[in-house]
Amino acid sequence: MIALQSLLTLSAVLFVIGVCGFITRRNVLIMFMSVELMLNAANLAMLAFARHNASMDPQVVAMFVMALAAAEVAVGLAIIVAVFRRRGTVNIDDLRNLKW
Amino acid sequence: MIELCQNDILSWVLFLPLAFAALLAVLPGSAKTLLCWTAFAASVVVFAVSLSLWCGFIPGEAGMQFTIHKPWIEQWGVSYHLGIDGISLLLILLTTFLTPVVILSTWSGVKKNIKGFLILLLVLETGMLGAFMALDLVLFYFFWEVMLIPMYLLIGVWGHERRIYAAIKFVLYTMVGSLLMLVAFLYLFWIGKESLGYFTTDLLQLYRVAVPYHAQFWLFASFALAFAIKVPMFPFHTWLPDAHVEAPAAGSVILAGILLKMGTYGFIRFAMPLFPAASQAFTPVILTLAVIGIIYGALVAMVQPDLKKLVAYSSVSHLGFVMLGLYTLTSTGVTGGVYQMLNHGISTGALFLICGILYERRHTRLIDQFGGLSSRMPLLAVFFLLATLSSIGLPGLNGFVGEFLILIGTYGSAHPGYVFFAATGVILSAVYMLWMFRRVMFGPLDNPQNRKIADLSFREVMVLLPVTVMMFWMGLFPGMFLSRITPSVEKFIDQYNRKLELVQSVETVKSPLEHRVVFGPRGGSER
Amino acid sequence: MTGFPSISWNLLLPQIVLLSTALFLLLLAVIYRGGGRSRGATVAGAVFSLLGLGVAAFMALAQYDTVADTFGAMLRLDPFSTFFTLLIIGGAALCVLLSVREAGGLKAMAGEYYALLIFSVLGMVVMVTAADLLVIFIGLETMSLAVYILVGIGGERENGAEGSLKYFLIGAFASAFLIYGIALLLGTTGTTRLDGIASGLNLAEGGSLQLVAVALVLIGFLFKIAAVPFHMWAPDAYEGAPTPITAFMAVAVKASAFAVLLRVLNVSLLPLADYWLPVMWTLAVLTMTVGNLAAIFQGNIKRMLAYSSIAHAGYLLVALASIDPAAAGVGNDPAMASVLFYLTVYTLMNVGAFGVLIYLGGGGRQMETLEQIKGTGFRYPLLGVAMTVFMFSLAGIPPTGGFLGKFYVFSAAVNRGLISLAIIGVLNSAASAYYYIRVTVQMYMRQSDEQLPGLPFSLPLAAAVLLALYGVFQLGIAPSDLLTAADRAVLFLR
Repeated sequence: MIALQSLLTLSAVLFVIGVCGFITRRNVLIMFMSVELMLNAANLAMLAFARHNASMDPQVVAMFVMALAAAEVAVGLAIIVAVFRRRGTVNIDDLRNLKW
Repeated sequence: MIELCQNDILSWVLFLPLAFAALLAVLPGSAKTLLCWTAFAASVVVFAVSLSLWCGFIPGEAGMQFTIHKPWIEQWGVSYHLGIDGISLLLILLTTFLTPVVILSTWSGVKKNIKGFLILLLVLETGMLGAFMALDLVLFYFFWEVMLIPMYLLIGVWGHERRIYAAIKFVLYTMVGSLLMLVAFLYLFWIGKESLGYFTTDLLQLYRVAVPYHAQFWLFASFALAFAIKVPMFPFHTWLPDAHVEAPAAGSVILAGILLKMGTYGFIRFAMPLFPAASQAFTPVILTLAVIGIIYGALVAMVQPDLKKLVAYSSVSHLGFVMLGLYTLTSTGVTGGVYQMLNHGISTGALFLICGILYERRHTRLIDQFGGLSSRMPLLAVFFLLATLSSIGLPGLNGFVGEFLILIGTYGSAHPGYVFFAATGVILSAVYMLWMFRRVMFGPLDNPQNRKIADLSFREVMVLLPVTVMMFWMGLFPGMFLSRITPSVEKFIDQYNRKLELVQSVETVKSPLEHRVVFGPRGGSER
Repeated sequence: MTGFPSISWNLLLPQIVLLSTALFLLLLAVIYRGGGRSRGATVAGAVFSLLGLGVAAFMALAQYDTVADTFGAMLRLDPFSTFFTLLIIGGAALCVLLSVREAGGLKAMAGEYYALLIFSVLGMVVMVTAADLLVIFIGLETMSLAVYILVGIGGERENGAEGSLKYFLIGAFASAFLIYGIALLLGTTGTTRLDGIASGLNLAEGGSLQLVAVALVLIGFLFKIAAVPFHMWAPDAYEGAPTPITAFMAVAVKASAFAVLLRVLNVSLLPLADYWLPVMWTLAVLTMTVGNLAAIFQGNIKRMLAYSSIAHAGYLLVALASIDPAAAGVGNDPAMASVLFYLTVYTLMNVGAFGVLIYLGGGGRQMETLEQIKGTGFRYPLLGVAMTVFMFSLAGIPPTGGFLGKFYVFSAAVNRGLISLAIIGVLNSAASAYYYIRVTVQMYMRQSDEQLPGLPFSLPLAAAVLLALYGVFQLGIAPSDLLTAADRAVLFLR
């Protein structure tokens, strides 16, 4: 039996890795993957709570989050493809038509 | 007919110009003559209706007359509350009197989009009248800000070379002041709620609130800032020369003639009676600034090469007189101050009209471009001389009455020393005005461009004539006007003094309000 | 959660109507042979969208007095949710009117365009009726996913995809914060229900985790309302989007996000008011100041309005900072009611300003920058007057609704003794006047370098601008009805 504490710590670490990845990486795909990591950190936290509280609710929420993450992927990848077709790059630093 | 609508005659006067503006909006923009005549007729009608105020006004009565009180935004305790006393009556008449004159003067001066110009003038008239009539702070603020838009457009669209700069400066200056005043309003309403037990924005009810001194200080400061910018008092006057110089002639007349009076009117109607204790504390500051304004305005006016700028700075000087008069807090001095507000409207209005007439002919405002014009323009010379003398304050003309009352009032007040500076200002004004007149009208006619200059047309005579008549009338028969001003002024002073005592007696008890104003972020648990 | 929850479907009629409308609009491409790109399809899409929105609004209006829970109390219908449902539908309908001409030029399927628009409206309506964080999250995602696509719709446009990508990335990032916060709240309070959270909050034990959770949830929302420092997506997305969508984002997305924020703060987080009130204070100052200062330097009007919308979010945060936790259950709180009033006015003046901008662009000449609109005031007098009114309303000058909105917000702040906040607010307001009146300077006081073309008349655009104009004046001169409605709506928040 793994303690709630450790699971939450792991999820927090994953979340922070996601945040750092989002902020430091310049490739749009990797930024997007970082966001997915953050979502999964949330899922992990929820499952940990579900087990600790012996409640189904967080598991249900986790299912919702997975569904929404899938929807986000569908839309997000489509947008990334559209950008790549037009501009030939997925580096966020090269996408600077819009600034100030 | 007049009997029928006696009850809401103020509403009629207030909204007639707006209705006529709407009428103008649907007329075709190309029919210039039609537009001009309609606008002129409209403003004359408004003047005629406003004369019924004069007739129906009971001179001896000091309180508000013709009051209209209807709920407006009930949730906030805001009402549509109009009313006039002797002070606002005359300022309203000044407004309705100057507007037709101004409209008549623009017929040839405004070359493009005259329709928009006339519409804005009429909208502006409603704004100004509303500000003079409003007895509810929100309503007042409403009209106070409404005036801003047309004036900004008049300067910015129809002005001279640096018009955009001047227009933006005008708006930003005024907005900073009035928005700070808005916060003060809100704070005052809140204090009023604590004291009266209900939320109200009604001026007459807020008069009854004894605002604690500590709050008065800040409230008065922000009110005074807003009004001092408008007056304009030294050192908040820097927008004025720009706005005046760049505005079209009509804009300058309205600006100098009426808009500046908003500031002094604001002092006498709002800042001073609401916060007498703070006003008392600020008196030395204001008197000093007023006197600096008088002398500084005069000295700067003296060295101006630009005709309009000269008149603009003379306004700074003259309004310093008005402020001096108001802060004597003697019946004579305040009455003189109010009278001087009217005089300044008339005489400076006339001077700006003349500047406009000269500019139309020569497209310059520089004094050294003129000279010797009196031989070519004898009619103008007469009117110009009268306006100049009225501005200086020659006995027999209107300016004298106001200045004389202010000087007497100051001498009899708690601060007689300021008379010395004020009298210096009178002398200086004679110097710069007469010198200016000499350089423009006399001397050799050495500039060839001035040789072919035409004298006044019939329309221009009709523009200047009513103003000149008023100069004599107000100079020779001041009693008619003073009898209406004095009771209101006396009531103002009486109220001021009584409230001053009230606040001082309240001050012994420490106000609970002091603990509740928090500067900075705070949590919710403190209450 | 035992047994299948009872569902009162009739309470969900607005949502059902919106959903059916959106699904029907997707079929337009099938119905029209031109592949949904024809003019007929564009017009039909707009007509059906308006129809759907109209029916939904009617349904919502019919439930105006209803107070009820449904879906196992996951959705809550009360005057507050109805107020926002109507506001969002109204704003969306105006944006549909703005879209009619633009959508034709986007080279996208009309059906998709309008369907996405209605889908996002559906998401917003779900958001404002939600009584559960999870439902809020679902509504938020429904709305956001649709808007991400709308920003980039019509692949031919220069910056659409870029704006869309940036918006999407930051939006997804914010959602991750929100969901992580929800997860922690769920774990520590045992529920995602808004009222349950309030009773579950217990700072004594495990309090810091709860504070972190609340912070994460709030950050998620603050991204959506574009509060500084979570605002960087807004200008890019606003500039990249087709102008009607920019208006839609500025208006409806913001309104729904504020509705949720208000509900969450008041229903769930009131026990923590001591923590978030100072945060709101700080955010309000930052948001107003950064928004206004950045707006001053913009040459592109859409981008300027984007920063201006950030600044307006700041004024609304002033109201949030002035919420009185002690007023709970005592009576209405002017701070909350002022948010509702302000958002309504804000909707009208923004739709109007964007509408004029779209109308000006109808002559085959781009009209997006301050340079380009030179001299348009006298050339197109009615549009000029309308734009002037909207700009003065945004600056908060009477007799427009913008003035009374600011008056209300700042009055709420002063009521709570937050004088300094009110002073910062009005100084910001004065600074904002500079860039708003600059638009009128360009329109009236400068000459165009070239001949300005005549503009083709567009009934839907004209209708939208006139409605907005009417509304701005109505709310500036006779606001009583709306004030009553707003007062009533916020009574149900606690």
